[in-house]
This record gives sequence, C-alpha cells and structure tokens, in this order.
Amino acid sequence: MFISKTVDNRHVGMIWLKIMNEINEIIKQIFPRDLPDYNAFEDWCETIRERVRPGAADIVSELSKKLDDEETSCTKNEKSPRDFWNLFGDENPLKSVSSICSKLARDFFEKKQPARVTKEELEKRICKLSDLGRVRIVCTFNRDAVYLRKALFTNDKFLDKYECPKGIKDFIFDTDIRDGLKGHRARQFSVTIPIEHNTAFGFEVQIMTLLQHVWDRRNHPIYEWLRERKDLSTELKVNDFACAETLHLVDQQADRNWTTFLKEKNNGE
Amino acid sequence: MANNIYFEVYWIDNKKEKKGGLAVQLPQEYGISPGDRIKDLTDAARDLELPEGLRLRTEMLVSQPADTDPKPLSDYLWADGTCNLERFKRHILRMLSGKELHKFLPRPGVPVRGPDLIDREQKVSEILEKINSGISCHLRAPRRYGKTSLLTRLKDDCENAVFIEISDVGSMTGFLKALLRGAMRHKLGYNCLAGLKEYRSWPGPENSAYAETFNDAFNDLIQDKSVSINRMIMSTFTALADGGIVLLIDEFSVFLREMWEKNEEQLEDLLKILKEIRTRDKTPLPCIFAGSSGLTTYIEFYGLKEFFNDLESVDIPPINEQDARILAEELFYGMGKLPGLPVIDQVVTLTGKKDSIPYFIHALAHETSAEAGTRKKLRESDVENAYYDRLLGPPGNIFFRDFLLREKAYPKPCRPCASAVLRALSCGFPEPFPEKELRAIFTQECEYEKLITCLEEDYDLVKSEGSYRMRSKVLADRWRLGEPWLTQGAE
Repeated sequence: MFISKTVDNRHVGMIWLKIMNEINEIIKQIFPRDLPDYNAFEDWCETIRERVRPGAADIVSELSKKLDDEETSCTKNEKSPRDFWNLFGDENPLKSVSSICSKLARDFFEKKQPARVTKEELEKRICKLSDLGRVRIVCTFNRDAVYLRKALFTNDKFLDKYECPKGIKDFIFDTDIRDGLKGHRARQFSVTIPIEHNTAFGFEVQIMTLLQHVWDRRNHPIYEWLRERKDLSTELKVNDFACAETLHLVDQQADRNWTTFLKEKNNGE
Repeated sequence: MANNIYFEVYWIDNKKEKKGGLAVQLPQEYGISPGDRIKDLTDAARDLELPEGLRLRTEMLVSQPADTDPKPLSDYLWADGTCNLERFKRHILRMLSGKELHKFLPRPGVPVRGPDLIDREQKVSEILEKINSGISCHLRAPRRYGKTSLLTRLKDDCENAVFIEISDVGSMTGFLKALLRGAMRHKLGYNCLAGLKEYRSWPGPENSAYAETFNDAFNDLIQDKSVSINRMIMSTFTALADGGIVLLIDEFSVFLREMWEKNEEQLEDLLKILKEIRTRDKTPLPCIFAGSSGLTTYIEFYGLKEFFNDLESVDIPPINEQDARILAEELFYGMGKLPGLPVIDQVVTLTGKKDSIPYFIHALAHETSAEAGTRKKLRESDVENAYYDRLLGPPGNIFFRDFLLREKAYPKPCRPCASAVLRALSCGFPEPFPEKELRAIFTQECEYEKLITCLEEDYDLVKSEGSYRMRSKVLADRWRLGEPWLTQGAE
C-alpha cells in the first residue's frame, strides 16, 4: 500500500507564490529565447515529463513488485506478520514543472553567472537532475531499511537493472554528508533510467524509517523556507534537529526491542 | 499485493484550473510494462484536437486521483491485449464536451433513452426545429429502426410534448382514452385539461392511484349519454393546443390500418379533426406521427391524402457503419466483455454493413455475450455461433416476433403470396427483384398494391427503379433460413 499524502501544503503554497515571481524573473534572463515566459516553459517542460514518464512508471512498478516479493520472504522468515515497508510517491513521482523550474533557477542563481542556454542544453540539465523522479520507501524498523539497502541491489545495479552511478548516500551515519543542523535522515541514491536517443534521466530512491518520514513530512515547510535562503532562529533550528536525533534513538531502541521480542518468542515456542 | 499505477489525462484552462479529466488504473501485467501502456495512452491523448483555450496535461500517479474516478485498463483493451485507443479518445472527447461516460447495455426491443440513442442527433434537431415552427411531421421508418426511441428522446427534450401510443387502438373512444391517458400524466397537459369542466375532478399526474382512478373517471365520461366523443376529442385537442402542447403519436400506421379495416367513417372524422387543429391559424397543435415508411403509401392508397397534405416527412435511415461499429463495441464493453476488431467486423458484416439496424446489433451483441459465457475475451466464432445458431435459430424467435406473418393483419388469401414474395426477395438478397416478376407471383384474390405496401412497411422493402429488395440483411437471412416459423399459419 502506498502511504497517502497527509501534510497540508497550503503554507508551502504561499511561499511558492512568492518564490515563483522571483523565478519568473530569472527565467526571463537566462532561459532560451524561444521559451519567453513561464507558460511556454511549462508546455515545453511537460513534453519532457511525458517522455520520461513511462520509464518512471516502470521503475515504480518493478520496485513495488520487488517490495512485495521481499515482504513475503521476510514474513516467512520472521514468522510474525507485520508491516514491513510501503512506497511513498507523494502521489506523483515526477517532479512538477514548477519544481523543475525552481531547481533550475536555484542552480543558475548559485553559479552567480546566469547565462542563456539552448533548449537542448536545458533539456540535458533537466534530465541530469538526480531527482527528476523520486520515490520513498518507508520502513517500519531501521533493520528493514538496512535489509532493503542490500536486497534491492544485485551486482551494484538497482533491481538488477538500473545503474547507480554515485552510490548510496547515508544521511544517518556518514558524517561527511550530515549537514549542520539538518535533520533529514535517509539512505538514498539516484539511479539512471534510459530513455530514447541514448539519453537517461535521474530517479531518486530514499529509504527511511516511519519516524524519519514523519519528521521529514512535518518539517517540509521549514525545509522549503531554509532552502530559499531565508533564516530561522538558532533555538528553533537546534530544537528541531534534536527532534530528528531523538527519533533516531527511538528507532534504534525499537529495533533492539523487536529483535529481543523475536528471540523471546522463538524460545517460548 | 503490488500497487496500481494511475495514468491521468486532464485539461486546464488559461487560468490553469483543471476542467476535467479521465484516469485509468494500470494493474501489474505479465509481459507488458505500465510504461508501454502510458506511452500508448499519452500518444492517443496527444492526437486529439482540444477546444480553444484548453491545454492537455498527463500525469502518472501512485495513488488514486482525488477528483477523478479511475477506469480499469480493461475498459480500453482489445481481446488481444492491445489498447483500444479509439475508445479512449472517444471517451476523452465526450468528457471534454461536458458529458458523462455512458455504459451501454443491450436492450433489443425496448425503447432506448438518453445516451443509448446514437447517430440521431441531427434528426432530433431537425424535428425540434419543425416543432418550434409549428410544423407537423411524419416520422418515417420501418419496424425496429428506433422511432419510439426517437419519440422518447423528443419527449425528454421537449417539456411541452405529450406522448401517446396507439398500436392497440381501434376506435374513437379508444383514441380519446389514449390521448387523455398521455395528457393527464403530463404536468402541463393536465393543467391545460383541468380547465375543461368534464375533466375538472380527474386525477392529476401526482395521484398515487392514478391508473385506477383514471379508468373510473374515463368510464364515467363515456357512459354520460350527453357527451359526444367527437366533440370531446375536439375540445381536448383545442385545450392542449391553447396550452402550447406538442403531440407525439407513436404507431400511427398500425392505428390507421386497424381503423381503416374496422371503422373507416370514424377514422375520417378523427383525421378531419386532427387536420383542423394542426392547421388552424392561432396556436396550432403540432403533431409528430411516427409510423412506418409505408404510411405515405397507405395515405394515398386509402385516399386520405387531403387529411395529411400539411405533413412534412422526416425519414429515419439505418445507422451508418461507423456508428454501428461503435455501438457494437460499447455494448460489449458494457457487458464486461473484451471484443477485438475482427469481432466488431463480424458483427457489422452479419447485421448489414451498409444498412445496420440498431435493434439487430443489440440482439446480436446480447447473444454473442451469452455464447461466450463467463469468458471475457470474445472470439469471432462467438459472433458467428450467436448469429446462426441463436439469432437465426429457434432461440432467436423472440427477436422476430414483430415479423411473424400470422400476427399481421393480412387477409388469409394474401398470406401465401406474402410468403412467396418474401422468399423470392430473401433468396435473391442483396440483389433487387424486378417488380414485373414479383407481380407474377400474385394470385387473383390478392391485391398487389395493397400487399406490397404492407410488406414494404413490415419487412423493410426498398423500391427503386422498378425493383424491390429487402434492406435488412438480418431479415433476409432469417426469412431464408427460418421461414417455417415466420410463416406459421400462412400456408
């Protein structure tokens, strides 16, 4: 079962409205001349989304089936039926046009040297986004996430098929990529999905626990706020980061509890 | 269980507001990826021309869309597993025009309503235009072409239309009863008649015991010796005409034939009154007479032309091949079956490519589905078996009840001639049969003009360049193969 979207995005929507005006200004400066405004960009960008959609549908379908198969096998091993994992695709696994536009605008802005590019170049950049499509696997226990990380790869290929050029990022224990006071905790990776004309696009898969997912969903408006270079008080940032770390500890303990339960149960049978 | 993926096509206006959409649920399939389905469906949607101001968008979702009820993929699959993209496009276009999708079900012999009536939009507009100009018409078509369905549609579209059916009426009293039954059940019709003192205490359309109280009231009326039926008909027509009513009369040619045989004088009186009320200067009563194509010939044959010379004819043709195909396809999907192009070809070929009668398509689709049983995927052999063993065989008798010779009002001496003519025409189908040779079949006791007119009406004979032919392939086949049953009592 997919977890349905539960976060109220009205607040995010208001922020976006403001951001979109800024983005539109950037678009006018840097995007190809034959995409003169956001509407033209939107129509053109939809054609790219249409081209990559079949590939995204296939990977979601294959992953969904694989997760089902793994769950069957895990249930057999544990002999104790429970929820293992679900897919969360935020309804639509492909980045929306406004989200693509915002990402491109941020990239151009960060380079400080905005330059006009051709449509072909722009399309390449869109397809190179590591998360043009994305899906999240939400696990009940940390042990499930660890298990899946291995089970989903064969010969370094995701689902025995998709290349994963940059490997798996571990936002839990890899101190090099844990970023300041950010509480995002996941194991995630981007795979490349081939499309026609020898091109491919990036599709991101995140594996996290249910508690990490809850933190992430609740904090999404804060994440969006900070991403747009707006600041918040240190107290708020520290306290919220502490929430994420606390949930991490809860996950660790819950994992141990479950392992103990399985042992005691096996001894009692 | 692995999850479904949803593919959604929707359209937005210039303000980027979503105006409607169609979602399809893509299940896990063996050997076919959802991506391939999405490619096909996207290409089909992109093939459509959208009304100005609308832009098409497509999406893939991993949870059920909130505002669109998704259709199962099987709604858009052929039996061979490929996508029926034309149906998908047709459904998008229908939704773009603001209409709901409709589930067709076979209804052979029952007047169809609403979206079940296909390929008749032009006729409906044509007749409504005439009604609005106060012009009366003769709606002409052979049996089973959908005249009653068309009248029902007019009744639904035109709130001041009163519908009456007079196939079993053989007297002035019977006609008045049918007229009052139709008018009293109509809100506006009832209001028009409630002003007449004879009907003041009659039950209204909302009365729960309407049928019973209506019969009592009508019996009281005709038992009153001071009441003249002719005068009552005239005053009823006048009240309805003054109230702006349009009268839709079904089975008029059957009525005419019946009355001519039994009450010729009464018939002339009635036709005179009807003509008078239709053609009066102030608020005439427009009437639509639904009858067979033979009605015009009857009128001339019986010397009644003067009573009908104000009528304009509206002919209902068979449906075209394209619509016949769509009807067959929709009926199969409506019954939860998956057809294939060869199956649809077969249905249309067997029911007559050029001249398809919706009634027979309904009948064959129904029998094909029965032949396939619980199997979803239909085969050509299902259609063939359904046609030859079910429709044309004894199980199909029910579909040809209207075409039994014994039930027609043919005088006994005429029946062998009728049978011989039909045999000749069906054996030669689709070739026309020269009238000269046809006349030779007739015996002295049987009047050629009269019988051929009846046959023209009852068996959908077409006359052209001195020859006759049967128009319907199904009727010809059935007559040729199943004649003994059709001619019970004829020879």
